[in-house]
Amino acid sequence: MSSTPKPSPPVFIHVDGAYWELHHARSAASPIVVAELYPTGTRTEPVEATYRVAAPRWRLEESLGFVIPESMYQAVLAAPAQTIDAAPAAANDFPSADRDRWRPTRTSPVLMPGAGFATYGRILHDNAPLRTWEDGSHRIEIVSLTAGPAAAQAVSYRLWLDSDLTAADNVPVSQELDAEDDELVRQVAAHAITGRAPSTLTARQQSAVAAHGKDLLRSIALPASPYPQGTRVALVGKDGRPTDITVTVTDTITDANGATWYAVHPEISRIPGHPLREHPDAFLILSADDLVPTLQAPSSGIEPILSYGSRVRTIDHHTVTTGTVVRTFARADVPWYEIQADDLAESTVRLSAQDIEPISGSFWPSIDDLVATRTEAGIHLQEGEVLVSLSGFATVDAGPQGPVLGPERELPPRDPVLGQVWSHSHRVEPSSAGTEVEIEPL
Amino acid sequence: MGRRSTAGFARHRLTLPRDLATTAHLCVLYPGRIGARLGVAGAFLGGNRLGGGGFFFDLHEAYREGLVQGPNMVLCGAGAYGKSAIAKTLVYRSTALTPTRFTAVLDPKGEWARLGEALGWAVLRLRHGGDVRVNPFDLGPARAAAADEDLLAHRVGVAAALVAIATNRTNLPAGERRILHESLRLLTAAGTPDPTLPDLRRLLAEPPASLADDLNTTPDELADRRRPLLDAVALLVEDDLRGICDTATSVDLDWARAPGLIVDLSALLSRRRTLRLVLAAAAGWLQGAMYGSRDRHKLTIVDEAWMALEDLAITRFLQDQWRLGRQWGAANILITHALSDLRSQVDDGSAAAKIAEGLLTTTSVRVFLHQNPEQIRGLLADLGLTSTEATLLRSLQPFQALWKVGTQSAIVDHVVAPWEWDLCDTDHAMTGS
Repeated sequence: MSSTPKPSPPVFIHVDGAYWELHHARSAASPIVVAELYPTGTRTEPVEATYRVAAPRWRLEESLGFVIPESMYQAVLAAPAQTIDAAPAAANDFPSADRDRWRPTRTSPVLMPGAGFATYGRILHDNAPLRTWEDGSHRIEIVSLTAGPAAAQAVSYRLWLDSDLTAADNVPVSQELDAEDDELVRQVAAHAITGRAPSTLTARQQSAVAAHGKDLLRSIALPASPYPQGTRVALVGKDGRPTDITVTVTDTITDANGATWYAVHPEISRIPGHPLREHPDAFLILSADDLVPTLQAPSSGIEPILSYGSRVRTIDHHTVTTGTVVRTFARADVPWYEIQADDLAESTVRLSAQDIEPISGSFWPSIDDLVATRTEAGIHLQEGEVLVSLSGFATVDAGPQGPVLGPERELPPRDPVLGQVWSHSHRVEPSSAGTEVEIEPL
Repeated sequence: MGRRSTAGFARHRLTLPRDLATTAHLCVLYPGRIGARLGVAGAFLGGNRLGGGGFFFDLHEAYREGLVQGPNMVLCGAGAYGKSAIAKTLVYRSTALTPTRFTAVLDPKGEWARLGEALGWAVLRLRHGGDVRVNPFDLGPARAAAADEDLLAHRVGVAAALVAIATNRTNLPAGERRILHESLRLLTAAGTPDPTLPDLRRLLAEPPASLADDLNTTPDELADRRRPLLDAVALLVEDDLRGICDTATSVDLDWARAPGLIVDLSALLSRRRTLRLVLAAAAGWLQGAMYGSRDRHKLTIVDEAWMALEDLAITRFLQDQWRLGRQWGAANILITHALSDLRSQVDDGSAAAKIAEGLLTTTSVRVFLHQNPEQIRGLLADLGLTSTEATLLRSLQPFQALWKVGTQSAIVDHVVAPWEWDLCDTDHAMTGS
């Protein structure tokens, strides 16, 4: 006789040639998650797990080397708890050779009760962290802030060093801090690098911290005034708080009264179409009072509708990971984008706005500029397209001789250098090479 | 409380009706009929109502594991019950798991283009008098890999199918088939790597003396015998397949790397005869181009397959392709509406009906969505369903399907994720989305 069929797991993640099952185990202390890896196949008889680990959520993430998103974790907790044979062992690592092999990718199918079919990338997208700080291969995610007793709150975070999920944990922080405060990022980094007892870290974690910890702490340290060249700073708004307009310090100037001014170059100028893209020496002069050092992401110029040259990341496409918007189409109430993969050998794909995440936008001063640039690149108009610039947008309709650009409709005016309105007046200085930069002032 | 008689209870034994049990135990009660699970191989498609857990499937994987005798599948059901969306989710989700597989879809209604564009596939829109052309005799990269006799046999098969369809015949007599065979042999020997239908027409219009010799006949007798063939091929070139299959292939496809191809035939929907011819020509072209290539799995999908299956010549041609394709790693999926509708289009008991049914009954993977009551009896008799399964088909809701995979059965609650609807919805025209 057959034994009683194994109950369906709360969470199932399909990876290449295997699948993970995540369960909830009984524990007197914090909830325990059990992860089991099984080989795939059409066999119907019971299959033995090739790997099994049981640990609290953050220790499990550190061990497996991949994220268990919040909705996935809640699905595990909501399922009936199972009894496990033994208490979870101390911190250990999924064998390093297997961390890459069995790690879910964005396309990995995931089954969760109540959620039906999803992909790992889609779940990550739906459970985005409150904030992400990145510098090369190092990354910190502020996952959540949870109110605690008295004047404390707990921050949940993840740290990647050299592109490997090295640490994930909860740590108490001051209640005054919110996710946008750079100080929160610094406290999290300090906890991950120096705040945990070495005995709680695996050999892999200790090695990563030793190799990259100092670099990480140095890169997020608060710079002393006057800020050195290359310091990233944010412009301060009327309310005295940093805006999301970021610039880079190129020089420090002290005026006759002893006041400090900075020459800065807008970070948004890196995106296609920006008038300063080809003028890296051009600068704005701003008062030190208008600037504050920042760890936030560079100004990206992302608009509700992306245009030619915008950079995107797909949520779970099987061949295209990142690419560039070639065309924008209006279909129903959601834009669709024709995207050229970074791997130019791949074909272009057409994806809905709900299937991509914008990385950065584009900055076309006018529709004419956009059409001229596209034509030069061999990107001709197609019926159904929408063209968007800083000043307006236009649609492409069918004409007797082919696609025809419709009349331009204006958008609210914005700053021609910063891409959005900033409360303080400012002007652009020509580059040191003597190249004139023609920019219509706001 | 008053006293209750126990007599009523005594009359009724505590039992479950026949064929009803908890799903967890059905597999024990009906070993060999109800599988606990098919295991985890292939794309997730939905919940396994009988075995519990998810239902996963991949045609090549099922064949590799020995679950089915041939890598062929038919998906059938009444309209508006989700068969097209089920097929599209199978294809969409499989692309991540089988990135090297080449998939081609013959799409008579133009409903796969959006999925193809999202996957980065080439979308060929064939239309009468258009500028996208495919040469059904074009063998692409297979030209260098396959034996000459195999290539010639393939071309003769395509040409014979086209002529048979064009002349409303089910089969060509041996004499005409032999003329086609020797004509195509001559064309290939003359240094034309991929002869075209116009080449064949020219040769038939002015047959060289050597062709008569090859056919052991005289030029005068050949002139009479080739006349019906010449007329049929001329009609194909000048009318039915004009601007579609009347020159060399105009599509520059990298067969070694291209992930997939949609052949959109929707512009031909109102020309049923042309549509059938192009279906056969495109299927022949695809099969030829993939001929002999063993390094990639191939999957050919024929949507609205009833249009093809109502014609004996196409059905026979597809049957041959299925038989030959296995050795080259080619799998096939036919999507069609209710089988009784198919049967109503052909004379029940005729050769066409028998071959169409033969194609379906020998298909190893059969997926049934909701069937109307009048169709149940035929399914029961022809396709080996149990009486319970056949009865069940009446009550299947949209996106529920009975899967027969070799000897195993599963009832699957198919799942379409919210973001997949944009790619799977076949009601764009009705809903305006």
